[in-house]
Amino acid sequence: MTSIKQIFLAMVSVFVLFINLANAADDKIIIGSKMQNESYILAEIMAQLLESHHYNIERKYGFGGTFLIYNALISNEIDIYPEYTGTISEVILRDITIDKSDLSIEDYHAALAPKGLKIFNPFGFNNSYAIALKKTLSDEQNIRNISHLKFHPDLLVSFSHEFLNRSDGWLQLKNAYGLDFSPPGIQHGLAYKAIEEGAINITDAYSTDGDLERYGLILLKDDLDFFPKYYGVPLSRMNFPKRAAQILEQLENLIDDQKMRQLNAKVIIDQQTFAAVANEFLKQNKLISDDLMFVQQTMFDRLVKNTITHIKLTLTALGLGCFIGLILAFLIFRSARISRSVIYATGLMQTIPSIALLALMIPLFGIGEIPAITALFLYSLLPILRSAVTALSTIDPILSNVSKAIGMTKFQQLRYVLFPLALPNILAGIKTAAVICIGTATLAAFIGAGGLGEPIVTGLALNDTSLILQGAIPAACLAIIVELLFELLEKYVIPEHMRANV
Amino acid sequence: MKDITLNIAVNETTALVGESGSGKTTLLQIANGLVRPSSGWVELFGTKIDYGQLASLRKKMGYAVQGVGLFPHMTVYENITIMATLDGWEKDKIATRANYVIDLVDLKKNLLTRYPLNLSGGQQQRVSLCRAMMLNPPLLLLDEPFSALDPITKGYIHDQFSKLQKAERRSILLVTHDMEEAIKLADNIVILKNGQIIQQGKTDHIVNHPMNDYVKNLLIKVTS
Repeated sequence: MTSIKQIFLAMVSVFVLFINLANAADDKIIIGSKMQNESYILAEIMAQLLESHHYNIERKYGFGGTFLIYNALISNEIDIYPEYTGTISEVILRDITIDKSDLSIEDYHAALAPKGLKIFNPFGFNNSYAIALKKTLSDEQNIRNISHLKFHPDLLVSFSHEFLNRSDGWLQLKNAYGLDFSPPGIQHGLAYKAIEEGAINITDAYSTDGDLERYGLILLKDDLDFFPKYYGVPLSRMNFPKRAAQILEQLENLIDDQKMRQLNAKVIIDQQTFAAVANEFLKQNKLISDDLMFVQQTMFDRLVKNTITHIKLTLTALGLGCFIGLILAFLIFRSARISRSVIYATGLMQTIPSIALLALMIPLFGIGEIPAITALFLYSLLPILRSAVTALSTIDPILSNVSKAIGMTKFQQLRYVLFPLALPNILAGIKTAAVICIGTATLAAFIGAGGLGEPIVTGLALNDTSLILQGAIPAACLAIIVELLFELLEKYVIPEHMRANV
Repeated sequence: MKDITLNIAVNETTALVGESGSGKTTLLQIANGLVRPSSGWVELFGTKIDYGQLASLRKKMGYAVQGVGLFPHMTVYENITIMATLDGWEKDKIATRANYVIDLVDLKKNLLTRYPLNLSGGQQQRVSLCRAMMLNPPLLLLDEPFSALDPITKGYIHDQFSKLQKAERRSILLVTHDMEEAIKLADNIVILKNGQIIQQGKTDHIVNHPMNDYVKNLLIKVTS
């Protein structure tokens, strides 16, 4: 089993290596971000700052979660990304038993060093849970601190489901402050509107939420210091280039809660691009010169880059799928029993939801292109294998007998009779696999493999439909083009009367 | 099948006659190795079959089958010449030999670039014979090659078959359920029933001296 995995890994690696050979560079820095507004902005600020010092920057944005982006960091897929101290202590240092209530930067350095990681000095803001209410209400009734809530039992309180259920959320908060509400759950996205309409007065929020100002909300002071601190910090491996690290240190303490809220709001409310917001911020702080032309990646550049990645992922997976699927089919089609069990096994693979299959790949192959290609390959295997086995085993027995009886060798029977006769159905299977691959490859962005899923993932994070369409429409077009190409191919290689649809 | 001992006369046509299920097709397939006998052996061209060398042995045995068995993805010409091509014959040699067998069966040249699907049953059968004869094999194995044809076409092809056998004498093993066909085409007849040989001998001898009622019955159907 191990050796099969190794052989397969080697094959995929060689494929990817060839493809990547062209754009390999030594002094490149790869910056990652999570699928969150704030993470995109901070990553883009670091990217443009380093670019202004002539670093070659590659952006790998939109990782689906801490687990994914952390794996990307330790497997050299990315070099640095913005993280939160609270997340580091809760998730990344989960296996380390130290008192995590009040960790200093030095404590983090000490705990991260054995993992070969380090953090930079914080950006300045603390993005933790907070309690929000209307500024007008706060002023009228003089509610400034969380402890003041005790004196207003008549307030209507509602929290997000996550906050209600988290161990560091409501359950502990009410004990810490001696509060006596029984708040119902509400979807976070609806809570601010509910406040605006007066349906509720109080809800939970993130302290750097860009929406707060739009709704005229303020945050109550956590006067008992209950909420854990989530300071934004760049997280990288120990071997991050020194000079680049020095440049990034300039960002220390430049962004307080208020500033982060503003930057978030510019993207969410004013619909500016991350690149534009980051650029404006760097110029205001004189970190890049005013006249420095900031080259914004145009929609077209992105489209081309994503489409190429997408095609690369799909083609590699499909190529492997054809190669292994057809060889397997030729080996097993003569035995109905083996065929059935192999098709059954690959069919099981197909029933695993694609996002789950991608996630299952992570412990085996890490993140990035290799697990994505592996998952896509597994998805393409079934239609190819099934169509090939079915086609080969349903060939008119007279024809296969004749091919033997006129003196063809086993290989000649396969090459000149069985394969051409099965070809229409085999091609139909490959076409199905290709279309499935193109669709499923949009999910590859969740594990950092890029492609047309990237704008979709970003768009989902930002609730930006136009961005989602920038991925979805080209992906759909690609599927249609592939369908047409296969029809052309069929016309070219299969005589008219043999075509599957005749 | 059991207790079968059968000698095929060189350069003569031997017909295996019997009802369906009598074992005649199985016997033919034993001859070219498609079926391996559970006991006993087959000698071809003076030596026992080497089942590891079937492919090269089979090139010495032309094969045409009921339902024709032409490859639908190849043109008529490709069907006829495929084995010669695979054997690495030169183009000129292929063309010369192909033209010769095509003329023998009176196949029209304009059909050569068509696919078998676009040919009539009689035309397909002729292509099948051409393919069987292409490598000029000393032995031809024919499994009900004419059974699907209408009576007029069948009569015409029968005449061509006889003409062919006169032109290029070779050993032919012909499986048929049609006694009339056997009498018309074969020098020797072997009558099979339930996997056993009932009677074998020269055609004249069988016609004149049927061994039992079963053979008589077969003959009566022909004369009536």
